[in-house]
Amino acid sequence: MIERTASANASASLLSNAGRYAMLAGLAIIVFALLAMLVEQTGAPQSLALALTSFLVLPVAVFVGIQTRTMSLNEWTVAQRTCSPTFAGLAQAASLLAICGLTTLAGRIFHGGTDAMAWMIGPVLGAVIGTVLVAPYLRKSGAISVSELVAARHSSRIVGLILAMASIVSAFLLCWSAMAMAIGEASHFLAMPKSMIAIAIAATVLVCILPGGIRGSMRANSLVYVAVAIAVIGPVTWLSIARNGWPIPQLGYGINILADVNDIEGQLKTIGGGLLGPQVDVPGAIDAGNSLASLAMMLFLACGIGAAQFFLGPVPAIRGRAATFKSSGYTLMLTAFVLGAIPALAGFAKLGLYDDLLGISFGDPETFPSWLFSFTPLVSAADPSMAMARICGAPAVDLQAALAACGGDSEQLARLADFRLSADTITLAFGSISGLPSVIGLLIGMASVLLPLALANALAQASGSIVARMAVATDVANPVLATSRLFMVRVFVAAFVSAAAWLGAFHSADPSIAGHWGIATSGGLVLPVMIMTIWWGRFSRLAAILAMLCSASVLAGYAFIPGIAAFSIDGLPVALSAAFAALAVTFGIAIIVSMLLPRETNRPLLDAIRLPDTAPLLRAPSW
Amino acid sequence: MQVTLAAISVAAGLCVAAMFTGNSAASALAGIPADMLLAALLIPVAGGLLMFAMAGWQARTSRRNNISDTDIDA
Repeated sequence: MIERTASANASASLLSNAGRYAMLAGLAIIVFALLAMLVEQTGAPQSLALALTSFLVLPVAVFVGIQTRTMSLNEWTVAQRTCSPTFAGLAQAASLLAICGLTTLAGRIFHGGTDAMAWMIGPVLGAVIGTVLVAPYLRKSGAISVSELVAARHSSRIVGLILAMASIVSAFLLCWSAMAMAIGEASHFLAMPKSMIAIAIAATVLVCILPGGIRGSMRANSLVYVAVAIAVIGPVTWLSIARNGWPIPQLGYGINILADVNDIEGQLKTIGGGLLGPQVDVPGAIDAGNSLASLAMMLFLACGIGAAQFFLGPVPAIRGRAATFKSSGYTLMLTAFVLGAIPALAGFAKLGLYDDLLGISFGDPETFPSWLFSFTPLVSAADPSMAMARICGAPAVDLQAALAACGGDSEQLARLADFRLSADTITLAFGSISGLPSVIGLLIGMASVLLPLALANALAQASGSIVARMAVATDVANPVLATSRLFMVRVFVAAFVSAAAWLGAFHSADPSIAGHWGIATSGGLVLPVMIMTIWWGRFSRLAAILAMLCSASVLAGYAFIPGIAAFSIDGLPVALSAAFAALAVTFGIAIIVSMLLPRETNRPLLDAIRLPDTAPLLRAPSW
Repeated sequence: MQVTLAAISVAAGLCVAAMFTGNSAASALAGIPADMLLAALLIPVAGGLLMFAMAGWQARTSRRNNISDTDIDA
């Protein structure tokens, strides 16, 4: 039996009161924003407010770690299965928003076409696929990770081991990408060497999840969701009320903002002369007219997210099967709440840009908005080779440099097409562009760093849970053995996070590439195996092994052999072609081999997973 | 069953509303059809409602079979 400590009891009580926790967190963030505004109004430099923000995050992480600390392997991996669906929904929504690339979404909408739609709808569809096909059955089985369920279903440690390795590789690649984004965004605000930022960010993740595991991860990620929701929806709602008198920007932009944007663009097109041009560069964005490529990207993201560890990781800690559906319901609703405001944010930013940039003259420095020169020498976190703001192709250093880059005629008017911003600049500079107080920029900046950290939290904790049961298929009834295994898990998680932070800081020319391969591994290998394990009784052990090995070979071939990578779809990431090829190979080999071999269904486990009136066969660690 | 049907009806209604509202929206942003922008909002809402409906169905099935729907270790 589990001996519950006082802190675990307090933790369980808090986990079951997610709404109260979210309200308290929201109030704390609003109070912090008001304090930052007061600090600014005293005339103190903005760097003081930035320093306040930076030094707030680490103590909060330490507090979460201390409050959730445990020496129980059960507590660390599944929190005694006491997690409320609301809490899981809040935490999963934070991870889902991070994978959508919330900071660059407004820039993608600016870029045009259906690329932004792929990134908004794909992950959401993935959550639906994961919930309908995998999550409740994973919870009903009683397993603490996907690999444990697969190992039990096929009565084979090797099958579980291969899937565990694939899941960990996928999680690590996504974590690497998330760390690169977090370090890139943090370097916008902190004048510190990259190595120091990497250490600080890795430390923040580790103090959150090493002591308390799933409780620490969920509590921190719920806090991140609240911070992001306030940072994004607050200013957009403010503008919506001030400009249109309508307090729900998620539903109002189609009628109000888009009409204004269209009027201005119609006039610019009528005037002609190259006044109107694309203002945003999005690395790797799909061409505006290529809807088929956007659809392929949407499916790629949906398949990858459906079996991603940040989504399935919290599932074993939820109270029951119905609560798993409910937590996904909260995840989707909470995601829609924030995602729905992003087109409105893009619309207001576009109006702000037109207000700031139309009709300005190189001969009159007062007409240039000051925010335009405040980014250089900063680079985009999504593409470190790109300056955040450029004028006539040169980084926006000052007016003289801009004038030189644009031809040197000081009497000329600047054209809208002369200005180019990186995708994340639209969101990060939203406060300045829209003429809001600078504390808004501070909150959005904080959210842009915290979101990838939430994703890293969830991935590292889920990988730790996989490792906790990777080497053994049976329960650890001995508390001493459970404690030593928890120690091993913590060492693994520390190495996992440190390596991801190091790679994210120093080996990420394009942070999205690692993320794409993480999604490809999850969608091309883990998802089909999970679906067949749960839904196809005839799926055999040998078929699972062969399918996973061939699928991994296909992914590796696309990743490392240029001759194979040449067979990829033009204009889309190589990882996407690799994922679809791997998906086809996994299903094909699994079906052919299973049909050739005699049936070996593990009927008791399948019944325990799928029938309503059966108890779980697998158990979480007793200690 | 009633909860499930109600939630599915609301979800379907939202999708239809998105199509009509999108078509009648004043304009589009940066070349993206307005109905797609609305779909980006309404797909997760509809998905969320579907999940709540399935949770209700699951809880009802458990009650009908006289089994506990929660399975905690504590």
